[in-house]
Amino acid sequence: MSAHAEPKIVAFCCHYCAFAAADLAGVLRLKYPPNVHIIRLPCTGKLDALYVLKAFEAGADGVIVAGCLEGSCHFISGNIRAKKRVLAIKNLLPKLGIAPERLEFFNLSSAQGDRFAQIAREMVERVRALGSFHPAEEEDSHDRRGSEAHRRDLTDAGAL
Amino acid sequence: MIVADQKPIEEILQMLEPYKRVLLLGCQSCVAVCMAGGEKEVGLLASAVRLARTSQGRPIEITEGVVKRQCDDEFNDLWRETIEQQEAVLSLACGVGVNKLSERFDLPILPALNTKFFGEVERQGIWTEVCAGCGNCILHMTGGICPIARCAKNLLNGPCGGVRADGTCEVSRNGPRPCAWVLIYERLGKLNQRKNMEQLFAAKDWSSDRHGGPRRRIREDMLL
Amino acid sequence: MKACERQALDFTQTERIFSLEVGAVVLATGFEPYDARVVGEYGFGRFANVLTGPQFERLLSASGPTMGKVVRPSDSQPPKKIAFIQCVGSRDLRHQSYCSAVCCMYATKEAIVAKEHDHQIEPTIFYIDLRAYGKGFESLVKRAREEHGVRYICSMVSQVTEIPETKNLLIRYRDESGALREEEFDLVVLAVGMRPSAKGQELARKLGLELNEHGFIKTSVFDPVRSTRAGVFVTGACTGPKDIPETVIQASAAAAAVGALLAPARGTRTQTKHYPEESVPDGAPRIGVFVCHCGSNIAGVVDVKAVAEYAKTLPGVVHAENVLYTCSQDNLKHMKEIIREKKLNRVVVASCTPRNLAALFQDTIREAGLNKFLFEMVNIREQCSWVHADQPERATEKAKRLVRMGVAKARQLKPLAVQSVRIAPAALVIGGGLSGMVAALTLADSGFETHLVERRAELGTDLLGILRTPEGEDVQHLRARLLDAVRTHPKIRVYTSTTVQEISGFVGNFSSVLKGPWGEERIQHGVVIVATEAYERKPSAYLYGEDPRVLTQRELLRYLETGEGEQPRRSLVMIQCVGRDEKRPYCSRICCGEALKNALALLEQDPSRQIYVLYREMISYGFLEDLYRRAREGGVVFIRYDERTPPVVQRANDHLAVTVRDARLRQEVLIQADLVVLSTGVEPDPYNEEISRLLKVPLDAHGFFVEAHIKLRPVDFASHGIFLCGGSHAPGTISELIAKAQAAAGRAAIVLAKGELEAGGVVATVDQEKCTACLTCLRECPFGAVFINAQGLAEIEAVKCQGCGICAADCPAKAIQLGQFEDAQELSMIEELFRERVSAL
Repeated sequence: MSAHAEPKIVAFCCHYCAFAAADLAGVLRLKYPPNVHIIRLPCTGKLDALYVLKAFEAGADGVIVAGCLEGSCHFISGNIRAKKRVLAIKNLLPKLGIAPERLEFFNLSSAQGDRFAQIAREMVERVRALGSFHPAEEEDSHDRRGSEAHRRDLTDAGAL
Repeated sequence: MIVADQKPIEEILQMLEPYKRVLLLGCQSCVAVCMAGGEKEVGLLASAVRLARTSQGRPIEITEGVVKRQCDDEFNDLWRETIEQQEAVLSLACGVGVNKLSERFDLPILPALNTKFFGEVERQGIWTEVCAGCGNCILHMTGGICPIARCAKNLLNGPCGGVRADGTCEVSRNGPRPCAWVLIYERLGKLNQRKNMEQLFAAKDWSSDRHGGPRRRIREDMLL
Repeated sequence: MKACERQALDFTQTERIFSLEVGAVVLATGFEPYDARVVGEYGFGRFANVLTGPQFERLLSASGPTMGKVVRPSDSQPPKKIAFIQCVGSRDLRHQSYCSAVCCMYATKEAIVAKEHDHQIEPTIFYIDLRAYGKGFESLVKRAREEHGVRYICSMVSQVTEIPETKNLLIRYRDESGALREEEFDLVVLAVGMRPSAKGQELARKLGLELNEHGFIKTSVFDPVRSTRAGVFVTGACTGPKDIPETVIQASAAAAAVGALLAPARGTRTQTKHYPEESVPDGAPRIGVFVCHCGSNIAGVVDVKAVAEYAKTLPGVVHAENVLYTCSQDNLKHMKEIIREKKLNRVVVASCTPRNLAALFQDTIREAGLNKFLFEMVNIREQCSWVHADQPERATEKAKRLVRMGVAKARQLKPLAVQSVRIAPAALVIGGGLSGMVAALTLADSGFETHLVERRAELGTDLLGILRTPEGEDVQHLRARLLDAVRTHPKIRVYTSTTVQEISGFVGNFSSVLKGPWGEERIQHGVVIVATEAYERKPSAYLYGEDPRVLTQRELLRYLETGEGEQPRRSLVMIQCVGRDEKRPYCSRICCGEALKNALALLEQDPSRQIYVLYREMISYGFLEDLYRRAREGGVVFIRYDERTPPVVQRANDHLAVTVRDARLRQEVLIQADLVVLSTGVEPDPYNEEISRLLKVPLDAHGFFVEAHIKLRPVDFASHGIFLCGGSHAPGTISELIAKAQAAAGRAAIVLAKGELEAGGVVATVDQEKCTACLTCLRECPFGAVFINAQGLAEIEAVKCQGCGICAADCPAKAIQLGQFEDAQELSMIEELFRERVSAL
């Protein structure tokens, strides 16, 4: 992997919880890497499964989907819907040659600024260890064979 | 409606192996309603295929489209120009759509779906087979519950010995299924039509079913 | 005059006198910082490198004299060691006897911010008692200590001397071990307190308002925003020292009080705001991008000029500029001019979180004739500059990406239509304690029907057993008065032994089911106020429950009331901060005041009593400081203990043996006590979990509700139409809780007084051409907003749609789009985010 490649992470955050928690992390001046870019949704229920796939197509190395704690979704069931969609895509990813650890769903409340920062840090490190799977990013991409899922030895996935 | 399932992505990718420029064409009818081949599924499948192919280092150019119904030429013809520029078309319609496109266009038409059955929505997310299209409907005798579709053995005169104590069928695939004849019995009871069960059906004449060859329906008065 | 481009100068203006006829007056004349020159021993005004807290704050500000660089006055060099001296002018009989309530926290904040500006700064705070009693304050102090390395030294400084050659300052103090130390500092900051504003006092006298003994405007304990003159209300620091959340609460409370007073005249003199005709944005997008400095909050980390320059290169952008504060009146006016001049049809503001100010900017563009949904806000502060302060280059790159993404969305934005919906003109108040009753009365007096629901059999059980406030006011009399007023008010319906079974709907149109032994009822209401209280925690330490001589402060009250009982209790030990540990670290704010009040009452009963108060920090903020002094004068012995070595209570023959390590004497002290009284703090009502579930409102780690914004929206929930007050927001004295309840009622009244609400905008719509009537949206919508229309296709009722987008995301035919979050808009953001353009950088 190129030494200069910094993982690119997109975080789909719901307005009421995750986005607010990210704001709180800012108010508290917590630190997390600038690899994480937040896209605000009214609810994770709005997260179309396509947004996740398109994010990977568009160059993201990792995708975070963050919504309210279970039972506390401002729109009642949005986070439940989103979680199911994310799990379905996680199952699909290895069949596309993409490590499923690149995508993760998190539940947190608006009061958990520290948890947001923690999630951001952990995903960045997790994805950094996986490297980039976009061939243009790889210096020796012609060496890459087979799907990423078969290169588990390079990852410390499951360390979340 | 017609209920279909998307093929495993591995199989789809294998089908698409030789091609670099394809059209993914969905259908807004039955397969949209059963969430296998509508515009949404076209978008997701296209994205997934692109990602898989990019991972393999063999990018593929995909055009995404959807028609109101793939079983009518007029709708499919709207895509003629695009289709003629492709190496193949991956159809997300039921088998009918694949057939229809194949009759009309001279390029490989690939099925993304496995078309399964005529089904009802049991509840959101679950579709169940309830009609077998046997061509000779006896539902008026069985209280509206079809023993051809819903009995694993197509029995016409009551249950076999394989009814479990809880009323489910011993065959029961995809989870415990109620015995069709238990359902029929209960339903006829509610309708006060238990006497129907005393009428015995002879062995079924399967000629009205697809065993007699592909079927056709003609409305003389509607021919142009 | 000729020089001023804006022609703001007019020397021909003369003084004019206006006459206004009003129904009420609100005084918010604030405070002045105490004059540090008077506290001569610290050298302010004589030594160059001695500053006051407010001056240091200016030094830290981007718009300050040094543009935010921390340098010392004498030589403009960055200081390394900075000493903060607390209580300058406060808690001091030579100056002001009261505690200024905010200085411990502002010193902590300044120390942290100083360190952020310059990592090599080493702040030290010299204090007497560290008063971190507000919500979240004690955890900020903990982070200051542990993460930012701020030193806290419990030792007052008697004088500061200057070293003439270096202009450094010498401070002598006693450290924890009792040793006398002398330390050199580069800069000293005096945490000066608050004193009443002189002009404010003058105005108060003109209005015939009484001042209290400290010169602040006098209010009463049970009516904290009412002055001594009918119709004149007072709010904020002019009534006594207080911090921002308390001030904001009082401001809303004053508005609520005025609203109740003037209810009969509501709307008789208002004008409706008229907006210009909306222009239709035809043609290509013409996007204006405004990149905010936010003082140095953003510009201190992100190269905002580079970001604005970059924005100019993005497709669709016809105008891009930097602004110091995009939210300022000046800039809002300027934005409107630019919109007109450059014929902008979409606006992007890159600044702080849209959760706070998006509505302000949307209103502004609406005033300029643009549909308010043609606006996108990019967060480059809370989610960029504030969290990547240590990586300015990368933060700048990220800001550019975020702006690129925001502009991509802006290109796709469409105008959205809104409609008006009537509001159910009633309120639901959950909780019938002090706060619930006050909130209900305030709303009812303002003319709104209020349903007051209490799950216990009686109202006001939280007030039972309290005789007097620390100021001596009769609490039981207050309770009786409130109960009577609530029960007899024609606009209040009281439900006791009643719980809320379900709450559905949304702001303006809630529908709830109440259930009690009397049956069930469904009510319609426009707002909800959560007013549950916090209750005295039952301890499990210090022999409580095992020995009848160990009581809580509340139980002591009963004892005081009923008298001696068996034997006279001469010697009492009060232990503060009982039960505060890792799991429950927060300060309950009211216990020290209660302990002082009770100690004084005990002495009044029997002056021969010997009372000891064992404390960690004495939280007698504001005017409670006077009680602290009177208690000491009355002979109460105050012993400070360190939290790592708490007191021990053991049974001896006829007394209780209390041993404690006195932190000042650094010795163990043994006290023979007849009675041990525990201050155990408060816990939020366990019923809050149920309320949180019913209303989908968040609780923090300690079980208190989380407000929309801790400083600026303390009594609002983030969800529209739901408000909070009471001990379950945060603990407070009776006076503070009353103000908070009035504030919540005032905020709720805003919604109800409007009469109608806007619906539409961010709602989902079904494309009738594409809908296959699969019924997915109908089944999934948590709000029942979808129905099948006459054409047999799905349709969404805009007034019911909450804009969650669940339907849009699951529609198999892609027939549903959510306004402002359409697929084309979101996908363009995703596609642009990581797409580096050739013209970039």
